[in-house]
Amino acid sequence: METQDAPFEIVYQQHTLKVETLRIGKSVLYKITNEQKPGVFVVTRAKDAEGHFFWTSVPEGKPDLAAAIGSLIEEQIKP
Amino acid sequence: MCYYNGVKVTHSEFIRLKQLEKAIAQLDFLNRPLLIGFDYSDAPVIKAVAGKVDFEVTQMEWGFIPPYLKNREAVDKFRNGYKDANGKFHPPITTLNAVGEEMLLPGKMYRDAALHRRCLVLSSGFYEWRHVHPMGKQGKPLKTAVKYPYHISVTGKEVFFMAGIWQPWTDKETGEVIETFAIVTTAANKLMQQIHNSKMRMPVILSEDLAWDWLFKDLSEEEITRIATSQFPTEQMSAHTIAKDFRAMPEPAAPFEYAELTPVEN
Repeated sequence: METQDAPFEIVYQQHTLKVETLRIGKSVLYKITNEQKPGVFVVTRAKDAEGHFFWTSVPEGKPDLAAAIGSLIEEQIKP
Repeated sequence: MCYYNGVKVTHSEFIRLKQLEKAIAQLDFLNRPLLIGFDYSDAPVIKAVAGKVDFEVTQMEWGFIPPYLKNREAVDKFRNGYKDANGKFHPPITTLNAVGEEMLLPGKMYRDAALHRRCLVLSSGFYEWRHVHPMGKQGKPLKTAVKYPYHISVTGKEVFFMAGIWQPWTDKETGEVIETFAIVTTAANKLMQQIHNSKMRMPVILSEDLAWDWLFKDLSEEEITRIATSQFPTEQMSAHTIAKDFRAMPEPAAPFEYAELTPVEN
């Protein structure tokens, strides 16, 4: 597992969260941490059965949070 | 179809996401190149967990150890050969590979594993030697071949699956319990016929759907043999020559050209 890109921040429900990019093989994941709270939340973009992308947490759980955080990350990483 | 985080996804996407879970949780396997050689080293393997609804990525020792071997000394004798008390030499038995066409035959040591303990060996590429017989002064090929190593991979895939079978083994002297595996091999496809031209064999490389079936499905003997003898398409594979001392190099898969060598056809 590698961390290559510079970390960045997103603001979710008035909390500033740190986002680090992880690369495992060709997959890109985002590790989200909150300095105020312990724990790590990891999200990635996946493809559904119809070929559409969606944001998911890894491991499974909290799909709504993954979608919300994912869309904030997407805004940051857009070229 | 499967569901991940409540969303319908394909088998291959499900496997990818589950791999990521395991990598995040405990392991850092997928970033390092996997050396395939006669070194009986540990390698990353995917095996189904009880109930066959999920899997885990684990490290197993490459080189299938049959359960009847009592201890490491017996394993060493089995692998390297030995002379018995009467001076008779018992040749080594190599269990790195299981022949796909034969492993289900009655009495084969691999039969039970092929029926009940199939696994996927994660690989980023493997090595094989091409034997070339240079022409002698009289215009005839020399007996002694010059060997050229190749790195072979699946085009566009950083990691791919090889069919494997695994066997738990207990050292009855120390109580140590390990898991060992063999890679299933099949007849070489067009590319591998040119590279592994001494043995004409290749590992069984599985598409994502076949990998799913191999790992999770209750397969009949016919289905097991069909998958175990399948050939991955030449067109989806890549190969290049590498340095002869690649094992000692920091990047063993780095391309190395031999001016005298005719390229293989892909």
